[in-house]
Amino acid sequence: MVKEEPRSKSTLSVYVYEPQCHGCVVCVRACPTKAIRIRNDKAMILPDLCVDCAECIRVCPQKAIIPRVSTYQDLARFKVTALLPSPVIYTQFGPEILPNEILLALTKRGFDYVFDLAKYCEWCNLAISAWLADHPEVRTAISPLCPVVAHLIAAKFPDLIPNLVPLAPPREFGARHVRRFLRRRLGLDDRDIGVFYVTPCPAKMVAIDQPLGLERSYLNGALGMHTVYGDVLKALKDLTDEDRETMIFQASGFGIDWGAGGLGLAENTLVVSGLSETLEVLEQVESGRLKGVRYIESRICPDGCLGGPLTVENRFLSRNTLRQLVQMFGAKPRARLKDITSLLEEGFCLTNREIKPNIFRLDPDPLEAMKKLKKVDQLTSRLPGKQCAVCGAPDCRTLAEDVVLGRADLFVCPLYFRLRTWGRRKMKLSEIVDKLELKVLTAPEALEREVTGVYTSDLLSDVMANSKSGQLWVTLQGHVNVVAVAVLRELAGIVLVNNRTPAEDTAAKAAEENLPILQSDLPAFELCGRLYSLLAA
Amino acid sequence: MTLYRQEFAIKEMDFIHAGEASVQVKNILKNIGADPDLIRRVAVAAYEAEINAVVYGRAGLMVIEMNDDGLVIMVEDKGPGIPDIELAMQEGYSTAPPEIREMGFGAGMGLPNIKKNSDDLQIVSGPGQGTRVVMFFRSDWQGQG
Repeated sequence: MVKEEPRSKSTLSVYVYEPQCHGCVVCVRACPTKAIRIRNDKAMILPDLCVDCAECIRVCPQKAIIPRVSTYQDLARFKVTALLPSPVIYTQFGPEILPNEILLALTKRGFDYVFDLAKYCEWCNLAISAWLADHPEVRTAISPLCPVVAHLIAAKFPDLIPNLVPLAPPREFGARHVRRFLRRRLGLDDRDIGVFYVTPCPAKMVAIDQPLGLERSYLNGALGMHTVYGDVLKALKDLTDEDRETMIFQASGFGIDWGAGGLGLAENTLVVSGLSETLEVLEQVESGRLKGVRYIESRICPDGCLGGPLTVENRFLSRNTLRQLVQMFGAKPRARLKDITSLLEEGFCLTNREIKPNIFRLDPDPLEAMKKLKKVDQLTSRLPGKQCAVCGAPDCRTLAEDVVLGRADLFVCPLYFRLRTWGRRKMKLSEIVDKLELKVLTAPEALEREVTGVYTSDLLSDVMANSKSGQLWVTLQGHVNVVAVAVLRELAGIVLVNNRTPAEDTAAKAAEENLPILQSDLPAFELCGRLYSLLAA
Repeated sequence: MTLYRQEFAIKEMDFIHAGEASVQVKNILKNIGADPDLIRRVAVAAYEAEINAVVYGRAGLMVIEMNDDGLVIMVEDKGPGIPDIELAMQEGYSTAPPEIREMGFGAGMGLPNIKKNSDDLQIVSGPGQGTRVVMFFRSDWQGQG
């Protein structure tokens, strides 16, 4: 994601289907970048913080978080459609179904062309090896394949942006090549050709709409692997022997493995999968403590793309199928460097756009940010620390941040009430007079007394029964009996609302009893609200 | 004037959490948008000082304090202290035991690295007195705006 334009909700990889959302906090707590809040009982995603990892899709018990991917209707806009499925699809139907059969089955679904992306994975891998050989100055290079890793780097480790290999990932490499092929072969205009990816994760959809490192994507969209799964299963049954003579699959086990699982390049490669694992490794690279690693193949999903949230097969079975495919087709790439020499010379797969840092900051000005950070620290220490997420933020510190940034009210914390019961925080009457601009009608010399809380009622017997010593009494009654009640109950003072004035004898009696009577122009509701926040905060 | 202050406890010989205080300091600086070069220097120096406290320290404390003119990091421990600070400042001089060296620490680069990355360094130490390392990093906090 690029910082220049703030992200809108419609560019996220997922959206919340509100009728289905119960407002539980499972996704809020699972989100690794703390980008989800509950507002009005529904999950809400903060676009600026989301890195499209789709963890929320996995954990939502209501299935209310929906991946944003293309649909079959999106294909209708184009004269010719071509499909480039992620090699993960080869692992979804068990080892008995061969990659070529899966690609053939997809042609039955009405795509004009289906291509093998594993071949482009091999090409891309060769291109990366060549780039690494040319750039020894980049001590630890990072794979460009997983778009979420690139987002994380922009958001949390901007120092590592130069470590990202500046090559387009295989899907873009492939789409560009396929596009060129179809243009030449069919004499069509670029906009009439729709090239679609089949994706194991919704992050690729974002990478197509707002590609990191590319001016624009060569792909027109991405169908979810779960969307095409059933169609492939059906079409596989109808494949004839004649169909099978067509060979679409062109790679070896290497291409499948790298595309699907993340087997690395030859030497000193670290293969990492999982989000917290990736964060840990990136942290080490940034600190310069990961020595001797030349290249990192990092994918956010557990077990790499095999564990993508849109895959159908359980990832352990997929891994098993993958292993058998690698045995069957060989672990050495089928592609040769000479296949792509001319493309490399052309700069065919280089990225063409700078990746900008996108760090979360409390304020654009460091000094202001420091002040806010201090407030966040202070607020955090006053919150209960249960990390219960009932407030709708994932933990107490995040709620404190939201409060400081004006995104939430402290009182959404249900325990904050209990922690701050009346009497915990005392305030001098004079302070309250100042802050709420009350008019002092009697006993100005008695304003230094402590107020332990507030009681509001216009029924004298109720005040007699329920008020507590030291409280301030909010009422509209101005007759003389209020003084007796206040004195008997040892109240700190009386506030008359709505600019009510006490009867003459009331004022005289209050002065005699040294009881402050104060006057506010606010109605009772507003006055009590202010008193509440004053004494609770 | 102190703009921001935070403390982190450092545990003796706790290699699982070693380095976490420096990572937190780094994240704080990132979140306020400090200058990237400053962040890099602070991260290295704080890490070295933290590891020293872990290895030799017997419980320590890291305090960061941001002032108008820059950042002060103080790392204090209750360890055996440094008998000869001048000697300890020489590259390659180390008193680390073999098991610490096996973990990749104790190369005798810690204090020199801190000196190299900070704008001012003061060490108060002596046999049996523990060690206090105070580093200063100048910054006008203009950051990246």
